[in-house]
Amino acid sequence: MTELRFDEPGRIDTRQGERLMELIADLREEQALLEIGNMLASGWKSTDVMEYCLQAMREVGKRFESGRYFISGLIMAGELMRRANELLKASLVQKQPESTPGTILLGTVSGDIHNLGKNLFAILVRCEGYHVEDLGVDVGPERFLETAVNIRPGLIGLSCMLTSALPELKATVELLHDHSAEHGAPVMIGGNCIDQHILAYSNADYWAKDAIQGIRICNRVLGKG
Amino acid sequence: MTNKAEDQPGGKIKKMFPGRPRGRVPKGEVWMGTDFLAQAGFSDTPDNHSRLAHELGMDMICLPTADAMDCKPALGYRYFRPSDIRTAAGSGHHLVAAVVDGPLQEMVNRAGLMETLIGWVRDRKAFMEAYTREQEKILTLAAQCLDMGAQALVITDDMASERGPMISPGDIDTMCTGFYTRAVDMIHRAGRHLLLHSCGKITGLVPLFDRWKIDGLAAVQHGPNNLVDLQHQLPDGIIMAGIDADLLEPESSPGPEEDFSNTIALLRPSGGLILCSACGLYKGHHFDRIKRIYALAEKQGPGSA
Repeated sequence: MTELRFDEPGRIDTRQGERLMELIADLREEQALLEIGNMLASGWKSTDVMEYCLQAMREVGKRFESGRYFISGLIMAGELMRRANELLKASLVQKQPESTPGTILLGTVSGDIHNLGKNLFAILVRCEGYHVEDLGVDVGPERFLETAVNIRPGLIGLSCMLTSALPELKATVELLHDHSAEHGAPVMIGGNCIDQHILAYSNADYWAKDAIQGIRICNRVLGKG
Repeated sequence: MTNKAEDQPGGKIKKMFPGRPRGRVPKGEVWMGTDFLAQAGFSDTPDNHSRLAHELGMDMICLPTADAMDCKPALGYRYFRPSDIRTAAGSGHHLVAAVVDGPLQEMVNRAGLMETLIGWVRDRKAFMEAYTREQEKILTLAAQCLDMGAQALVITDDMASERGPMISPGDIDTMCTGFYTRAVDMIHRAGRHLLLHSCGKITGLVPLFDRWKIDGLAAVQHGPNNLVDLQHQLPDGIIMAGIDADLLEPESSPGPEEDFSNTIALLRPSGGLILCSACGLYKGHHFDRIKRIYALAEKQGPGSA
């Protein structure tokens, strides 16, 4: 990675926002980060820069859904956003209290160690501004419940790729529902083996066929979209 | 297409298993895990892989092989040394295949999937330098396996997720074609076969595989691919597959078994099928399930296999 050098402070150029969106959507990492630095140096508010970043990520999501981008592009966009967040973070903290539309508790259920879909979802919802508590893979029902009670998330996401782990998925949903008064969060399930039938089998509240659909559900449930 | 016998449907299988009774579907497994062997009363040694394969009526054994174990993930099966291939081949009962992680897989083993894919997008020159280092090590390992008597190589390189390739087919061409054309050339010059394994939906990559002249696909999933469609795409190729993960579960309902029987019935006439699971046999309960699945496959009748 090259060292970033930003322009001296100057006048705000509204075309910079459009240019930043294009650079992020095209995954031009170093140029995009340079542009963010230049925008901040020109007097842009971090929140306005972030808004362009999020619009760019939505464009990345569209390109992925249309088949123009592959998983590598989605992951690269997430990495770019992680670095952009680092640049913007200090300024955001200084100028306003950090706010998040909500917290999402996430993990792959016991008996399953797949994490690609879960990690993609985590990247994308973080880009949307959510705080993610990711418990990792092979997570038992009790650990989901214990964490949910402690952090009281807005949504709990259970990932499951293997049909052999479906009984664990069902048991986890049951335990979380039995104690819903203690955490108050609905449960969304997602993963390769998940469909409408598994939603009915598990009695979960929502299901998502992929990370992009998962974000839509988050935004709907947590009142962002 | 040529008129060579090996290029006719089923020709490669006939060459791989010359003494096999006509009508039986050949069987083999890319991965047999330690717990699976234990359930059958065996420790995880090359000799015992041969014994268990014989007991189950398999026609080939596959030994995951590596010359360094430092970065290998713990997935329920062990890796063997190239010299173990000679031990297994010495039993003489089965075709012995070495299973070798491909260059992309090795990079993922070392750095993780996300870091590897980010590396590809971020700095291709650095990525390809690292890839080339891996490919040279793997070609050396493959040559050792051939020297030790491996009659086929299964190269495992996860290039796809359930949705499709993780990077574009054009990028996979740029990344992998150099390695695979060299590997195929080396293995074919030795008169052996190369099968490729990748998880996920690989139908979009089959034209590349065809161009690389690989002999077939191993442990590929029916769910995201549809094996019958894959076979149409690779009409002269070997399809070592047929058993998806849900069929191996003990409470498998009649649905998956019916789907399995129908799929096998469609795949058998081509003569290019080796019955194999898409995920490997790791768990103890797979022992009873695989016997049941083999019995279902044999009920199908002789066909052309």
